[in-house]
Amino acid sequence: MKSYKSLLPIAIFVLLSTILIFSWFRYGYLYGGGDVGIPSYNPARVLEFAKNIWWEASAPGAPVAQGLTSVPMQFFQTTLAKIGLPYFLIQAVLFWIILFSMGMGMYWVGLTVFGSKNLILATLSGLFYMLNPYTMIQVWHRSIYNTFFLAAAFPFLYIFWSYWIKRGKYYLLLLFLLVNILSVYMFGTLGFIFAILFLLLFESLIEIFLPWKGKAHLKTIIFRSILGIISFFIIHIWWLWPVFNITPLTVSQQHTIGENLAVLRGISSQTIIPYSLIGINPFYLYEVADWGEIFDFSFFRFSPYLILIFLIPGIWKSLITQGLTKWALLFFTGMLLLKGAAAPFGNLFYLAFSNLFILGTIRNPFEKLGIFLPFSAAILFALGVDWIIKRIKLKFIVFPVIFITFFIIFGINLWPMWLGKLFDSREQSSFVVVPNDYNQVDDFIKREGKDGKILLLPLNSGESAKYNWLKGYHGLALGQHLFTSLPSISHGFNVAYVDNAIDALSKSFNPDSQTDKKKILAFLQAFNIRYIILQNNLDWRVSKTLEPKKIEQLLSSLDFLVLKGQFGELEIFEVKEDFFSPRIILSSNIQYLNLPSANIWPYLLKEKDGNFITPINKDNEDVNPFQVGEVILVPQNFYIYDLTIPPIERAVGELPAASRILPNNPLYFLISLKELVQLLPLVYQDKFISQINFSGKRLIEAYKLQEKEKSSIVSTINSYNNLIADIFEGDFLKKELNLSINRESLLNDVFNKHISILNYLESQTEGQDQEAVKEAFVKLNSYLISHDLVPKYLTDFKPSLYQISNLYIPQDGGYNLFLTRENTESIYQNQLKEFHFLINGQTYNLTGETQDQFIDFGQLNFKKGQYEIGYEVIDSVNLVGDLEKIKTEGQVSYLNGEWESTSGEHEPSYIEIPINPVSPHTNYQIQFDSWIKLGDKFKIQLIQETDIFDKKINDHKRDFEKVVFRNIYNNYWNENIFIFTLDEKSSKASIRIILEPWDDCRIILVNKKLCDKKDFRFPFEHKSSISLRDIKLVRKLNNRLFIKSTNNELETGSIDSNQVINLMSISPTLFNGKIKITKPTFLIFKESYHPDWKLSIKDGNFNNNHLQRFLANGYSNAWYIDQEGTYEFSLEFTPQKQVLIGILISVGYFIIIIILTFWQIRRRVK
Amino acid sequence: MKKGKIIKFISAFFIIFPLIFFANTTSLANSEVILLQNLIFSVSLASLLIWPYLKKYYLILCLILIIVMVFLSTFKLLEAADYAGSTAFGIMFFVLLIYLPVLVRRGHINEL
Repeated sequence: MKSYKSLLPIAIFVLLSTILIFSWFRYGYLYGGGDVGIPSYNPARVLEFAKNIWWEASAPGAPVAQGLTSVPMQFFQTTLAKIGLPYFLIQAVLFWIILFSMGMGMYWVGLTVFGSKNLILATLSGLFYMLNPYTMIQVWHRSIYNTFFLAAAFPFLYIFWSYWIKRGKYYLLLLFLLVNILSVYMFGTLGFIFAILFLLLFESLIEIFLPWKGKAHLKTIIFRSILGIISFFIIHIWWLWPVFNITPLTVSQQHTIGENLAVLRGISSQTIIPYSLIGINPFYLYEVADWGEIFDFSFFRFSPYLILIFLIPGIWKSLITQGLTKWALLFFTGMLLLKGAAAPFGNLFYLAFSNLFILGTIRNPFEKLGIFLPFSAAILFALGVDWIIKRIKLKFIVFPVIFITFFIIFGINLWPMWLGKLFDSREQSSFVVVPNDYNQVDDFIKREGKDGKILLLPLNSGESAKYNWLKGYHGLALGQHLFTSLPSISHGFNVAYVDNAIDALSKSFNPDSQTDKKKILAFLQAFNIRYIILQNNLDWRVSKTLEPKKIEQLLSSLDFLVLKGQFGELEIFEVKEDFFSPRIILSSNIQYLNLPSANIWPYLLKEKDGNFITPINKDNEDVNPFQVGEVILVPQNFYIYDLTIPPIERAVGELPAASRILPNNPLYFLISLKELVQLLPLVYQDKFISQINFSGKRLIEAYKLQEKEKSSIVSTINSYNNLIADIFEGDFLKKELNLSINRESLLNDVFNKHISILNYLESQTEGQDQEAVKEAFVKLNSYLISHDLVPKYLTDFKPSLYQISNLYIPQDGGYNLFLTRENTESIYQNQLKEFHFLINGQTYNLTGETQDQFIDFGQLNFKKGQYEIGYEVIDSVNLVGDLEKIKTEGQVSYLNGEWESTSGEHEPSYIEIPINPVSPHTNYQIQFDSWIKLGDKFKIQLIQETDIFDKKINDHKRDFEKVVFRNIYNNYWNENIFIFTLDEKSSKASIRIILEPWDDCRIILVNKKLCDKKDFRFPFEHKSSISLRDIKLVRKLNNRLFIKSTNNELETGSIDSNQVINLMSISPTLFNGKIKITKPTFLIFKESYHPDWKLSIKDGNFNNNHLQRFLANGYSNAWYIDQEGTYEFSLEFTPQKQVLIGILISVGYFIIIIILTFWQIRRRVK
Repeated sequence: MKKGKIIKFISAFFIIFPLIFFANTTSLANSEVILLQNLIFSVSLASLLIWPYLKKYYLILCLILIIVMVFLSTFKLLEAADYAGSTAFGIMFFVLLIYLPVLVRRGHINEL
């Protein structure tokens, strides 16, 4: 009977897991989307590329070292697939195991806590761990597989670690390590290492100190803990070694401390105690409301707090019970960590994050460390239930109440879990049905048996895509999952230079950019593309790509492509054999490109055949020693600087106000103390902003001292100098300026006002004061110049807005100056043919000539060195041309230069002005006078064909929308000026001035929220009316500037006598072959650049593996070989070796632990 | 109340306040309210150090604040709920800190 009783909890967890899995998978569909894609779709394919660090399948390739952690899981899924299970069932089996492990693991922990006889409390712990808001939202709904594995393994890791440090039996260490290996996929999210290490450390400290058992015990626990942690790292060395070798470089290219802090700040505004205490992530529950508005109702807001009825007594019971105290402490410590920078004591987080970059891996602490919450709460909850049942005597009342509460906590509150809505988003379900077309295309390519890469069009340089499949799909772009035949280019990698190149590749297929066909071919060759697959089923608006229809026409017109067939919504084009360029080539036809950051423009500017070569670091920036056909130079930075120094009144009025206590007041030390205290807790960006504010205050104080009190300002100006030095020499400005701060706003809003006040003070002071001001001005100016924040060279030619480009010229010679056309030159005076440039302070009046996509301003001689080239940001002519082209709706009339628009009682009226020409991703300005005659506001919207329809607001989301309210003080003609930027993919756009009916709904109704609904607003609506005049729509000139020199003496395009004799692909990380070099050349390997790709060449005894490296075509690897000869070469991604060595070490160590286990057992038996 | 203890309390407060101020002040919260919370934390920790028997009353205060937090949160007054909840959590943290020697000695708390 007893044994049956102990089987009952197992049966409960089996049944519960089965019910939930049946509910989730009852329709027979696979789940996917979001950040993870479809990990259970085609696991054999994923296994194939995940076992290598270099993901060749995800072309043009990227190092994904932590992908190794998915190998055991994918091996398991692959085995199920081989048995013949459909993908959805594989996912169901995996989810069932996860669910069951969660329940059973926690049940087992419960048994260790409550004793082996207390099955009910242990079962309750297991149930709570499986069914709570954190698990529902953060584990399952978030759908990150790594978190699933963490949640399942966490209790087991705790048990084995806890027993190991207490008992010191090697079989327990072995079991701990075994769980680690089985659940290694959890470390696919690196932050989970911190979660596990924290758990281990916590348990060891508790064992040592709670209570203190003497030094001998301390030594024993420390020894076992150190051995355990060393074992933990050794057992994981096969993936940890390459991860720590590769990831810091990749991550530092993708993230900065400033970004980490920004994410931490964003997350921490959500993980406030009222939410994190009960494990709720408000983003999914309330903000995006993935399960609708229902969770926002008071009942559903209150019901999760019912957990506290049991949790609080549980915490108390835990604190007062010998051996259980650690659970309350774990709960508190866990809470302190997972809430991040939310109150209380949040600043400690900021401080740690601003100093330790590695903490960026837990910049979302609620996600990375949140598992402590359900884990500790599961025990505390059961303890609380026990306490209540034992303390309260009216059992006939208590039991039904507890039953109802449980029903709400585990049932009603978690209804998405029970009803199979767990993975749904507000927009759509997360079911994925991959169309069979993809398999057909893949089979076709396999049958062809050719090498090269697949290009999926339309393409964006982001990481996600949305498909109009049977059940839809929105999430990680899936090229590598869908195509097993060849590597596919389907998304970006969040690595700037690779994404830039992919974006340029994508743009070359935009018919509006009128890319020369020869240049499109050059792109295809640079990326080693064999096939192009046009996906007509892509939701191009949401995916932010070009419209497939547009691309189709272009593809059909390219004579180097041949349409191989159409499979459903997919069309497959092949690059003809004569035009295909292999993965490894030797190229002596070289064009020099200084920076890979200017998207498609350098490719359009290039005229000669050949490949772009870019130096990797400053040391090889010079064009010599190799001969190039063209040198194309892209500015290092490119920004608009406003030269307008505001008048003193505005500067004083807009800088932060100073206190009434001025520096000559004896109480001023209190102001200094206050500022010191304010700065004390601030770090990084917050500190930077405060310092800027304080520096402004110093200037205002100096101004007041001078104006009102006629006192000396020397000490105040010195304080200003110190602050300015702190600002410019501080960490934030050094590391983040280019990324986080909008130069324009920084300069226009702050430093120009500083300059205004300094100028004024200089004119009003004399003697020491004037000297101090002059010194401050010089200091500020030198800081601004050294940080490229103001032009270095200014002459009498001072436009109000100045477009500046800084660039380095690597060798003396004649260079042509180009401006991009962007089809806009016709809307500027003289068609931009006569134009002033300011080059290092010298004015040049140049004459332009239109040349394809550029305006060529002719050749100028430049010496090697740094240059600053600027031009005035001028306005185009008024683009509001033909009145007949202006679209109107409702009661709109035009008379004597004025537009009159009157809305209906319930219907809006509008005036829509077409924007022509459309220049994507550039700034336009609309300016007009308005007079609101009836009503209180009107709206101005940018309408573009790329606008996405948003179901939540039942309208399109507009990139630009402003509401203009009635001016109460001057209800007559008011001037309006707005600057807006067109979308990058925009080809059709207009500006709409909308007048909606006025309503007094919000004035009358108490519940203002009801007024958001049109039905409620309806009876309160009345007509509105406005007049508009002097409408002016202009484009701001900010076309990009480039410089090019052409070496006409060098013959390019001739047949290259260098030769790749043979090439053998051993694996995606190792290639061997033979090359013949007859003249200095570049070996170009068309995978994304990574410093760990090593080329070594060998000719008899001559061996060279230190060849000079470059970036080829903006993204790939190139080595310069200048010695003639026939070489054997080997091209290897070296970190892959570490995997093999790591596996040997891990396996060897595992065997040692097994031997130790048997040795210990044998010794005990003896 | 003995004069000596009051002086100790005031001294403790002035030592603790800058530390609390540094640890607890972030740009996420309203500065006046966070200043008040810093004062509450400093007073509670200083008083707990001088008069440890206040633990019981602080625990009751935490409980009340948690209940207040629940109701404020239910009615979507989240800023206020956050102040109540985080204050309760902070004080609770100090109470546990005061219990630490007992915990190390006995492994659990046997009396309030």
